[in-house]
Amino acid sequence: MLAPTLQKRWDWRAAGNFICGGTGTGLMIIAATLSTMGLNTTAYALLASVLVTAGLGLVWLEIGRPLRSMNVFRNPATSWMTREGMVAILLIPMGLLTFFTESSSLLVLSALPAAFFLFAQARILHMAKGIPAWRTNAINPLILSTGLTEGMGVLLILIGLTAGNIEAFFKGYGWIVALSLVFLRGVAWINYRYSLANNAPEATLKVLERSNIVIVLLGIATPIVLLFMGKHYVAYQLPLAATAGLFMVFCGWFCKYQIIIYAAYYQGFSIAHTPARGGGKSGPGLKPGWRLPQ
Amino acid sequence: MTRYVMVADINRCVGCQTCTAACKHTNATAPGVQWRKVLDFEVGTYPNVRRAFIPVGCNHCLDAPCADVCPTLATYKRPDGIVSINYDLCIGCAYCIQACPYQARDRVDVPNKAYGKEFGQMKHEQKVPHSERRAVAQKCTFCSDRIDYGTANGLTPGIDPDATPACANACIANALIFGDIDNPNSNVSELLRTHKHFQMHEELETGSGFYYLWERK
Repeated sequence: MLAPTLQKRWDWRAAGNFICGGTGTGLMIIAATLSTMGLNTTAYALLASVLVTAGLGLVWLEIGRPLRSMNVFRNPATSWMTREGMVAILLIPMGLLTFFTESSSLLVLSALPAAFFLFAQARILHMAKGIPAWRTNAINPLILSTGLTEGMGVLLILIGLTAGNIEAFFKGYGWIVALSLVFLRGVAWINYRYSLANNAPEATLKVLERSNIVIVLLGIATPIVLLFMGKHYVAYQLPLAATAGLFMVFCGWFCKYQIIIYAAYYQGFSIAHTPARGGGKSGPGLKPGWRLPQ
Repeated sequence: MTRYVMVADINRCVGCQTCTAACKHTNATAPGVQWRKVLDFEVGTYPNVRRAFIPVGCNHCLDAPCADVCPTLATYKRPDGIVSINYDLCIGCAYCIQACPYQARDRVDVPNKAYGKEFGQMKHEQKVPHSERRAVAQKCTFCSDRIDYGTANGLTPGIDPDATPACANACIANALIFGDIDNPNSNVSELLRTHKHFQMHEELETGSGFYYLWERK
């Protein structure tokens, strides 16, 4: 009972917001980036907006008083949840407008609220002081890089739908951007785990240790190999890019789901000293469920 | 200025849970919800075993993480330092529950039924359903209604029972002491001057309003 317990209040619906919101905003940002490199990506803005909307819809299903949901806009001064909601009001219509007008300039503009939305998601977790796996500074680069990599992954999965995109992706810097994102997410993941060593409940560390092999092998190594293969085997570029994208998306969703649902143990309880009983002396403190040194 | 805090003398606490019962009785909290409870810590191995009873609950932090993250301003700090919840504004997003390092917050989505569906609600549960608390965040209020009543009638919280939280009133060992830390002459200020003390999770810099006395200076 004294050791940190797993949070149960945010379930798959909350994780769904971070998954859909991260992927949607990542897609918007990456689509805007690649559009400046000659790819035709304005159509992705629709999917990005739909994903962000779906994520917010899942949160709406989770809150206790959904009919009061408009109250969420009351605290822009300090709450990142409010800020996330506010920027969504801008982001979703801009994405829809981009899709219907097929304007690359508008797509680039839409990337700005998308970036803010993604940053807000990272900060929402960062500000949750009760959960060591979330409150570490290293959660920010992890959520940002994961969202961007997921966005790139979705774009790669669907890249064959627009003629000429796959060639432009591998001829230009697109594949370098994809490789860099996978690499950066790997660094962010290692940094995240490093930041929690001796700084999180034992149970959290066990979950992250279990997830590590999946994330490193399937989320980092596999997409890197597939992207390199795609660069060299021109005839198979489309399936290789799509498979790499699939792994990039899967790994991001898996990583977030693990962090939000399974690694999210509360801080727990601790005492700095034990009391002196009777004529005895006071003793050392106690922090159940945590690895030493603390 | 006034800032109300709770001081727990862990040399005195015997873990009887009278404070827990008094809190439940006063606030009619739902089954499974304890705004005040006493943890039983045991450390060491036989024969060198130590035991400590640690009362916990909302710490009414100076820099309350729950209030910072609340998107609706439902959680707010009163001028007297008490962190309070406006149930009518809360949307039940549970963000504050994740932000509290003291696990002091709960959300109950179903009507109180201590004995389950089979028996339905007890008569006392029907009398105090507290439907305003359903599906929103809830936590210890330091019995703010008693404090407000007391201060409005010239009583001193922490001294006069009618103006003091139920847990502190009920403590059989006088281990829970409530008072104004900004008043240098108050009971809590005197205790903190004369005893070594700590706050739980001090490293998180929440400015906890819950002090644990562990040794006399």
